[in-house]
Amino acid sequence: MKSIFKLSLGILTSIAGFLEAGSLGTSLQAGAAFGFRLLWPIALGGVCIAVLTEMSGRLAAVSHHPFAAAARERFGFTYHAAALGAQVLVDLLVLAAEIAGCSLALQLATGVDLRVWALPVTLVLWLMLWRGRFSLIENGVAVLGLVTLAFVVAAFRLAPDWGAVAGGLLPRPPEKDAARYAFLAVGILGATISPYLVSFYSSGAIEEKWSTRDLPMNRATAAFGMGFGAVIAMAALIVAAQVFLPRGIRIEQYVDAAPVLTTAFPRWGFALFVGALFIGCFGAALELSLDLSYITAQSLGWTWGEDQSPAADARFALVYTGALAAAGAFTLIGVEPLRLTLVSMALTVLVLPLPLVPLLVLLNDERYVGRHRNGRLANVAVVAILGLAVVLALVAIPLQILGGS
Amino acid sequence: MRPSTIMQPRVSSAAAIASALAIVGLGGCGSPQRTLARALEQSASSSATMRFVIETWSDRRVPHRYATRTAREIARSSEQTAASVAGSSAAPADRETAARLTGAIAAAAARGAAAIEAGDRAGARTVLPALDSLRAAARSASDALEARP
Repeated sequence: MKSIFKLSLGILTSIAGFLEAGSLGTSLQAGAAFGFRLLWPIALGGVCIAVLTEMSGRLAAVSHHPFAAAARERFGFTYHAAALGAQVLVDLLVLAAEIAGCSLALQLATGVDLRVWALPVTLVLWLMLWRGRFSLIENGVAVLGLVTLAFVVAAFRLAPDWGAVAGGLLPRPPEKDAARYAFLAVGILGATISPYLVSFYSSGAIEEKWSTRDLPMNRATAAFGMGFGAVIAMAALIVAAQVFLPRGIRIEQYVDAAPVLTTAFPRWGFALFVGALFIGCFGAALELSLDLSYITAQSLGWTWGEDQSPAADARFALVYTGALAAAGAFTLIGVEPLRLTLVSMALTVLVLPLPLVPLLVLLNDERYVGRHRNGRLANVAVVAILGLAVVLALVAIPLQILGGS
Repeated sequence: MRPSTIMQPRVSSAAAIASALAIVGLGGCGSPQRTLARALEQSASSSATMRFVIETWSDRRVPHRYATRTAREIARSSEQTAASVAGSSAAPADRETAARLTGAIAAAAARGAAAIEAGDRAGARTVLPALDSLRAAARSASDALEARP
């Protein structure tokens, strides 16, 4: 049972990688616009993030350093400050998108405008962080996150052509709208291979007091957690492809996608979508708020830990309090969640290369990981991901202009 | 022992330069013909979305408040698209065709939204054939414009 709960960290992390507002939105948009053709970025992103989280978990378990603290210690503050600043900015924007996503779910459920929900959602998030313990957050979100399995069941119920689905795992350019196709591919990869997943996962490993004994569990958690997220995101894309593409519906806003599950589940589909959107965004918002506190506290050498009382780590609590207030303000002014996520994903892609170099160096430094350092295959994988990240960073903004509208 | 700290700023600079070039280079792109094709495509998609909203609402698969709000939003954006087409600087014949189609879609969307707001399921369903035929016409007009050099 204890082992099953250890998998929760992987599921919680994957919810913020695959099922938050940006990832779910792009999966639905991609399926509606290009059918199964954009399954491959989800699969590729899933493999990449599983590799990276396994490494950050291994670093934490062996060195007892979370990634941000180790990077700051190993590279010095000047280099690290740039990466920290960029990640704080991206985390804040993505957090704003998640609060908007939760508020939109409540708007869909009640008919009351999402701006009205911004403050209550922000307060509940803050209260959970203020009062809750790490295990409650990770296990609670992981269990509630199982509602997203509705997409998997729906995908089977809609009986797609599985040969065509398999064909989507190989990149194939579309007949038209190549710029939008590329934009969505980059968006999916950017939303999936997010730097905050790496820092959050390693911080979670420290919160759970992992040691070298947990290394096999770390591998299983990274693989299972990210696999879970990738499968659900692929299922969401498949369902959107089955429901929207034949009808010629292009998803411009989240509200357009709300009936996506009603074809497979006529009675409960709408409620299931609302539940999945809310849980995905709520879990991601908790994760992002914590990550902002983690990376700031770890980089500046403050006391940190969700399991400590706010009085014991006041600055840690202050960071998530301020972050939630700032991010909630975006929803209060009425920013459309899907548009906000598209901008935040482009920025995520821009900062993606920043943490990869430190991760590669740290995972080869025996002072941190001893005999558990990367093998040749692992290093090749990180270098390949770094190469991919640099390419994505270079093309993100031009593609946002060409294909983002 | 410390690795180079200038590597990442270089990457960021390269991204910034590429982005700036793209903004400068693409700032003026999008001929009136292409803009018209996009408006038709947008209008066709609005028509399809409206159809789906009516279909799911009629079958009681989505709540009334959701259908009302979404249909109202689609009707509003269809009207905006039609207005943007009317002011296009494309060739007069293309503009007239596009204006006729987008205007008809906006009108059908408004009828659908009004029927949903009134809770009239049968009335909303009567709009479906018009939405279907207009969507097909808008899409083929958009494809024809896109295919032209």
